Amino acid sequence: MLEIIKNILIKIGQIDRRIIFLIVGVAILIPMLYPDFFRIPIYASQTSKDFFNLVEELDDESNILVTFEYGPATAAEIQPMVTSLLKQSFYKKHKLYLLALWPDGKMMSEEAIKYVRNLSVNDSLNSKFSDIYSMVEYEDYINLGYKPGGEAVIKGITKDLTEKFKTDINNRKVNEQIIMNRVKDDSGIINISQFDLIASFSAGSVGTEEWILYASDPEDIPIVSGVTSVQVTDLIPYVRSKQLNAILDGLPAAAEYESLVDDILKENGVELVLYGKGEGQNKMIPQSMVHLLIVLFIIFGNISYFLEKRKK
Amino acid sequence: MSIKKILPILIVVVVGFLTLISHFINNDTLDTFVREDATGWYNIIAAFAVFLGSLNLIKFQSLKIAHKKRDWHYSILTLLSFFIMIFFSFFMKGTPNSELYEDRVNGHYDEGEIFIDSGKDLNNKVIQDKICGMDQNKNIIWDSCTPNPLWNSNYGNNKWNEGEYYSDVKNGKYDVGIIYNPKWDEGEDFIDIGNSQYDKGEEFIDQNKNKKYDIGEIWYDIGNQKYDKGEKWYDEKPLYMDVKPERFIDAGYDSLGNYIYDKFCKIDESGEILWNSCISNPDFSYGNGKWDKEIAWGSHVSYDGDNNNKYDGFYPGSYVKWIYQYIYTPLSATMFALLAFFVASASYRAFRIRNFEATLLLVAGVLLMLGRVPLGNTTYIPWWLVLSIYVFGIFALIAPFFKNKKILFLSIILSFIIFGIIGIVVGWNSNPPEFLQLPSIQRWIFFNPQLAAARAIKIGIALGIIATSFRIITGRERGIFGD
Repeated sequence: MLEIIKNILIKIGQIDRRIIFLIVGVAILIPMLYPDFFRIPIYASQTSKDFFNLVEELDDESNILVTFEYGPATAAEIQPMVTSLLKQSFYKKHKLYLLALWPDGKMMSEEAIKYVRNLSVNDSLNSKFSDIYSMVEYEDYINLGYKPGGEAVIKGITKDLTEKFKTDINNRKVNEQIIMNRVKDDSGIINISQFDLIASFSAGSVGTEEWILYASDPEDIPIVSGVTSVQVTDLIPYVRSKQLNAILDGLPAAAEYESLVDDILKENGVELVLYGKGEGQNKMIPQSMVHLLIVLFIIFGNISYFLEKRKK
Repeated sequence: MSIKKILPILIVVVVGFLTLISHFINNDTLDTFVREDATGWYNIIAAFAVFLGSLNLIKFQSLKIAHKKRDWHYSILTLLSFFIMIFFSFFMKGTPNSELYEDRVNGHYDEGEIFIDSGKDLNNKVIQDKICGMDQNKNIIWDSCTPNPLWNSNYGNNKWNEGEYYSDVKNGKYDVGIIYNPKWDEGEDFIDIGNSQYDKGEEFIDQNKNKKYDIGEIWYDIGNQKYDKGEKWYDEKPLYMDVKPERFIDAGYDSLGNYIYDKFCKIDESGEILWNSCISNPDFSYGNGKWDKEIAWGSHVSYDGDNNNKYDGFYPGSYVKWIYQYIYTPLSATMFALLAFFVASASYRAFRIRNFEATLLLVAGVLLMLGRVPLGNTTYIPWWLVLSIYVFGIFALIAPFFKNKKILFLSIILSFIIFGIIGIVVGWNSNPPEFLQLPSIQRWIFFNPQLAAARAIKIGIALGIIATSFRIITGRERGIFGD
């Protein structure tokens, strides 16, 4: 009997990779299709709370520069962070200045605005998020679009933003928009030191690291960041040295931050109608499943390896 | 060495040193060079690089197809995708044209219209820059205008000002109904004069030596480089009351993608719309009541069906946006998502307790994977399970030192019993210590061993960059020239 179990375990170790793919596929698909059946409470970590608190503690109507350095490949991880920041910012009446240093970033910024604008609110009027909180273009936010040049653009912005971004995504002159008057210095120049916070969402280079090196650190402006899980290891040194004020690392942090933001909105009487628990929190369920699955794979793989070795 | 090699090295050396020096010398010219000129050049060169890269792609993939090299079929797909994107990005927008409108003489000066600039000569006599004939109705015959030889450019401001003659023509633009705006607008020129009161920054004679201006002290009333009420300005946007908006045909897409107009109008022989003949389309419900202009090249890449504030009805969006949304985005996401499958498969085969390093990697990996997800919380993974990971991990490492396997198994069981009793006595069930909570362990790994490794790597990279940069700007590194 023991021998049969041993042989089964050894055979499990030699399982075809396509079966593993199938198991992973099922573990992802089912929670995504039926998020309501999988109730995993989200516990916000200290890093996510730091991010949330930093935005929350800014004075109302602060100016936040939101930068988009990611594309559709990593949108699953980063987009929920951005939409949550937008929700929190519009609720706090912060003024947002969106720009992209990746070509795809422009699309991502537009998608994020559109998503938040159309979020349904659980009230008798079937309101949208933009009906409750002001989201007027050129008053509450401006989308400056994409500019190639990476580090060079960041360096340019530190001196004069309009040098690099003359027109916005609607081809309107940036310098002439009302919202830009808030970030002009005494001589009428828009430079980065006029912003209260930089929020960088990045999936690689050019990204958060460059914003720290060329903008936030030299100009002494607080910076927060949202990055993919694989990227966070590169940025932890900056968090520890306080050059990066807060970081959202990967999908788990996105889900945590999202839950914090949705909770504060709910406390203020705005309950959002969400599919499942919310964009980030829904995705956390399949990710949890797959993490658990991989750990089980590792355990079974090692048992099989151990038994096979002994047999030999 | 040929000029082909010397010239690039020379450029690299000069520009490299200039950039380096600019960080140590406070010089405006150098700073401007690095901040503006050099970055501008970078963008230009990058644009050329993209162009050359595209040509290279065409050449490389075409050769692959021509010689039927391995996997040449994929090259067809690559080229096809490339040309489809070029076509829809540069030749066919797929966005609607501007809505039709009635371009008429609008009774006010528009930018670009011819005007007669007037001013005063040295004798304070009004003088005009053109001499023109007039018809019976005292309308200027603009074709008859000739330059006034007595005119000096200092007399006028080369801008149309209120009261000056202008040739009112159709301006080729849709004009909305506007009202007169006799105000200084942001960006308009003005004569910056003193305002008869002391302003911050103006010089003054500090009579009581208190280093600040006090009422009664003499000051020099100068302009403050800002427009102040009462200063003369040049109205660049002179807008008029009683100008009716131009008529237009509102249009929009129905759900089937047909373009529907809100009016039916007759046209004359030259194709001009006879606006007085227009009748309303009773079935029209797609317009936004505003004249919509054409989407410019470049902007069209991000226009989609949700731009209802800019377009009417169901707007299908540009082709590029469609390709981006329905082909590029899912494909990119799929490529990234495939990682989950490969990681699962690889971890099954590669994460084995072979030696010390592999075991360390495995234990750290498992702790991180569980610690990063909500399932890793103590609610789901209790302290004793984490403890067992520790115990098994430690014994996996020290197992080779046990010659007698019975002692090894006994030691493992004994460890469980000892720590289990300690846990129960101390009360770890209700309040587990941080080292037995996966999220805390994960955070510790991130902020300690991982941080040390990341810093070491970063310092190494930084030193490497310094060394490589030095080699490049001293002309020693030839790899960048393709050598």
